Amino acid sequence: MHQILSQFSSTLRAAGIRVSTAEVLDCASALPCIQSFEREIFKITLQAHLIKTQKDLGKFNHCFELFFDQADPDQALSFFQPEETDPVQDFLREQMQETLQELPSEPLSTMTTHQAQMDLAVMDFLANNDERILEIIEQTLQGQVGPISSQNSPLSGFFVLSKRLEIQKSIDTVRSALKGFFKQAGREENSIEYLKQLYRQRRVQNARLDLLSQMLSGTQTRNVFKTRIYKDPLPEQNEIRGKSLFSLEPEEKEQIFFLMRNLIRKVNTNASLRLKQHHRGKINIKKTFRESMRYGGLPIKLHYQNKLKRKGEIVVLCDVSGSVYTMAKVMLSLIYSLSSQFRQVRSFAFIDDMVEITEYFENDQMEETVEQVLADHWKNGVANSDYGQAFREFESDYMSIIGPRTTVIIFGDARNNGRMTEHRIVEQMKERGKRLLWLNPERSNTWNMGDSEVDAYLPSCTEFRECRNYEQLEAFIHKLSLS
Amino acid sequence: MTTPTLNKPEDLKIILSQQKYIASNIISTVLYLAIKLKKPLLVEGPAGVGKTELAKSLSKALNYPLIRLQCYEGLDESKALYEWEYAKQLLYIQILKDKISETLEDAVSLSEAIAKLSQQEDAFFSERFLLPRPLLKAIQSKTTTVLLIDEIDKADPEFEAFLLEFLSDFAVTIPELGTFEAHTPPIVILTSNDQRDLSDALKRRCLHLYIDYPELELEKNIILTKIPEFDHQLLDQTLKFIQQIRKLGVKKAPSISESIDWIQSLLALQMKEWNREEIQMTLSVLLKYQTDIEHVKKKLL
Repeated sequence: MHQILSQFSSTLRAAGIRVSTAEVLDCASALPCIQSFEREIFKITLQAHLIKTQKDLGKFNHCFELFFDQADPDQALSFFQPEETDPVQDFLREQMQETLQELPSEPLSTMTTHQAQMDLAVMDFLANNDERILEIIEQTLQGQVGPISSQNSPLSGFFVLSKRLEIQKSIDTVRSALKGFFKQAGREENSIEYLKQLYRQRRVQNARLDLLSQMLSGTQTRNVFKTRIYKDPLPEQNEIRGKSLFSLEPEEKEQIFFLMRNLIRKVNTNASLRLKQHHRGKINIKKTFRESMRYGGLPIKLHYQNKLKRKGEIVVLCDVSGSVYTMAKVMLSLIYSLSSQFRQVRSFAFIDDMVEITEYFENDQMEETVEQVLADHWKNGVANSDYGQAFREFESDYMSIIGPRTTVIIFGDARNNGRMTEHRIVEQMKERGKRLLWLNPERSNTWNMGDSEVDAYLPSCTEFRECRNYEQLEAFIHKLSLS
Repeated sequence: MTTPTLNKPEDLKIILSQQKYIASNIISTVLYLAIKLKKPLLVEGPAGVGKTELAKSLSKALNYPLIRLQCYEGLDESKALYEWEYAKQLLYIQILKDKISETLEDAVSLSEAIAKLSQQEDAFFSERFLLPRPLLKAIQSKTTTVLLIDEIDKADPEFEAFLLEFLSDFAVTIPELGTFEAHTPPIVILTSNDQRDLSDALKRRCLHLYIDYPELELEKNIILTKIPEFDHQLLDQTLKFIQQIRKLGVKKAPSISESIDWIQSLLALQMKEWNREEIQMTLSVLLKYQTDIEHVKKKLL
């Protein structure tokens, strides 16, 4: 049982679920508590111990089906390997042919008979001939061969085999010996048929899952199947972190959102810790004395003078033209998830006009916001970016909201269609505010090419960043919340 | 009243149903394991699916006292574990002033007086002056208790870290008095609404149970247990409607407690058959956002 459990947990790990050893141990100690081995209860027990996040439940169900249920092997395997040919079987056939050619007729005496029979049967069994294994099982049932313990169970036997060539040497001898058993077994067709049926459903999936977990633990079989199956979740995640946010598949988007949620949590937690530490300051004599009256004048409880929470303000100006706006959406939603750290967040969208969109976000309609803004304000559809006009409008209507604690964030590609840049207004914003950060979703080597006016704005910014993938976004968010 | 014996998950299901809590197989099995293994149980799921209710029903069903710790931002040890009762200590000192000066009377020097006084320290830092908060209460209790740590996700991460020690050993250390160990380990149930992700360390120590919105049959059972007088045929229709809403992807999907409220209000309005107008009028019981109500009206009514 324990071996099965550890194999199952390796399978879960292979599927990208984090399972700690302690959890497996706990689970092992829990299993004796369930008296009836009903499938559902067994499954729930495993689930409660090994799966601690709801999002892993789907994977768990799938792995469980693969591992324990008698599902259709072909369908079950599609989860790991949507290939038509079967590498395990090919590999086995190759191995077997090689062995047969190289070592045709060695005697059986080099090894224990039971082990050899078992291993060879397994070999055949995996290569799509299950007669032998059935015969051995039949024998076991009749008490002629020792019981199949977990240690020399068919599956682990295969791996012993792959490491020990001498087991393979006796393949022919045993084959002829097994022919006898085959005849013997032929007499009891019913039991054979029953076992056959049972095993046919299970064998391939079990064997492969087992192979899979072995491969992951780094055995030598690994390179044989190197084109198969497993991608370490970590590098994959790293890939995503560096991938441009424009070209994400829906699945990857989900992963990015998951990463973002984590990031926001971390950043917010850190910020709340920092704010808390701010509370500790000088002793508030007045309050401490007043409180001490309750206790006969003894200053039992000390009160501190809370330092003022120094929360900054944020003003975000987002270019929502063309392709930039998908990124703008992500940016804005990120900034609003952090809004608890700031005294105020105000946001504006622009193409040629500057439109305040703060209230859309405050009403928590993140999803439709940008589309809605676009529909509301640029009804005619086509509008070309005009940073100059947008900045002029900002200057006349909103410049006063920028105060000494305001961080201004401008998000845009600075492609101005050859119009006035009005960089003096940007300069003015920087001077009024605490700092001005410009995020450009374009790759830095395309800056200043075509109608890009990066160089005109660059001197007026405290910081000018490329921001086109998750990693850059993360770095920016950390910076923003720290300072 | 005695505590019923539990030999299999089914037993738990039965005694919970006597408390009008209809548990699915997964709920009863995981809870059963948590009780048998004496491990804390972390229950997650959307608001209103009966996480807190589970702990309450369990305590009633097993006839164990329920101790509840409601978590919130800023919850700390002095609110969760114990606090010294300063006022009482001071009051005693005031009353015993004479006695104290008597004790210190023959002390020659100041340091001798302090030494004498410190010998008496134990008198003032004893259990008498300890104000036990929920966690300590659960440990001190002579009988098994059900300890409900509600909405753990609302507490700060620091508090979560502090809980780790408590959950693994069921012991609490008070510097002045030493370590208190539980007479009988409490049955600990933690609930979370997924406001933030809990730490892996905490999750590791707990069994995990996710309660989702119930299947149609189960929800029907639950409602019939709570409101047996409601028309069965109408109930089917109503529940199908609710299930449809959940699939619609509204901002706040109706939970079991909201379905119960809604069906109760339909009963109060004496609705006999599916009546579009009355449904529309009462929709605000079921849905908590105006945009959701509009959305449902447009799509389903």
